[in-house]
Amino acid sequence: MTDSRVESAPPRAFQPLAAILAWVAPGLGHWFLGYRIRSIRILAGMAVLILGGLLIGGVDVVDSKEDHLWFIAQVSCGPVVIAVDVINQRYVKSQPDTDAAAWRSLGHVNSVGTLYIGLAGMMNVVVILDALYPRTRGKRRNRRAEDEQP
Amino acid sequence: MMAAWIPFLQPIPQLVGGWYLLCIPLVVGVSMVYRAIWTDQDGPWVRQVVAMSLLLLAGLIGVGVFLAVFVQVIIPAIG
Repeated sequence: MTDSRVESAPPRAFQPLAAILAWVAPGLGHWFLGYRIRSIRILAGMAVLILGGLLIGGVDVVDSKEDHLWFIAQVSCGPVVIAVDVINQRYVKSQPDTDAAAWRSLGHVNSVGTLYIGLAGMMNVVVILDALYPRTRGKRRNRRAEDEQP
Repeated sequence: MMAAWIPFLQPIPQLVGGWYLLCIPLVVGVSMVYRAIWTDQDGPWVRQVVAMSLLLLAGLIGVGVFLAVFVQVIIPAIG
């Protein structure tokens, strides 16, 4: 079955398993639904945001204790963010201050890195909802086509 | 300093001055995910990502210019 066939025949309306998979790994829910190209594109975009945030600010940009509200947004990215937080809490924060200086991001670097992964989490909420109700897209497209008809 | 840097674990060093340029990969990443959802699988995804990224960048620059004018010109003129 080609991707275009899958596109023209979307799966049934409510897909809780796809939503769970979309949280476990961004794009996996759409892969499960048969939207292979779309899932790769989602994974690529989420990788830019998550790996970009980590590259800029290191593991210190995910901090469930000091940046609790940001962590709520970030955790929508899935278990990878939880793993980063565990690394941060257990291995970085437990170091003495003299050794931890190179591991802690400050100022704009920390803010931008936190924003990257926070936005990735919020975008993944959209992805999860799209995997949960995959037919919404088709209905919306049909609605647009109806609107464009004279 | 750079030799000791461990990517993805430690913060990137010497990036303090150009931090605002980091909004470019940010808007590209957001556009990639958003257009992946709303573009057909055989649709022009790359072109739409580029267009949305430029639109978001223009919006960010516009907001920045507006706030700069508001803070530097309008507020001093009022107060």
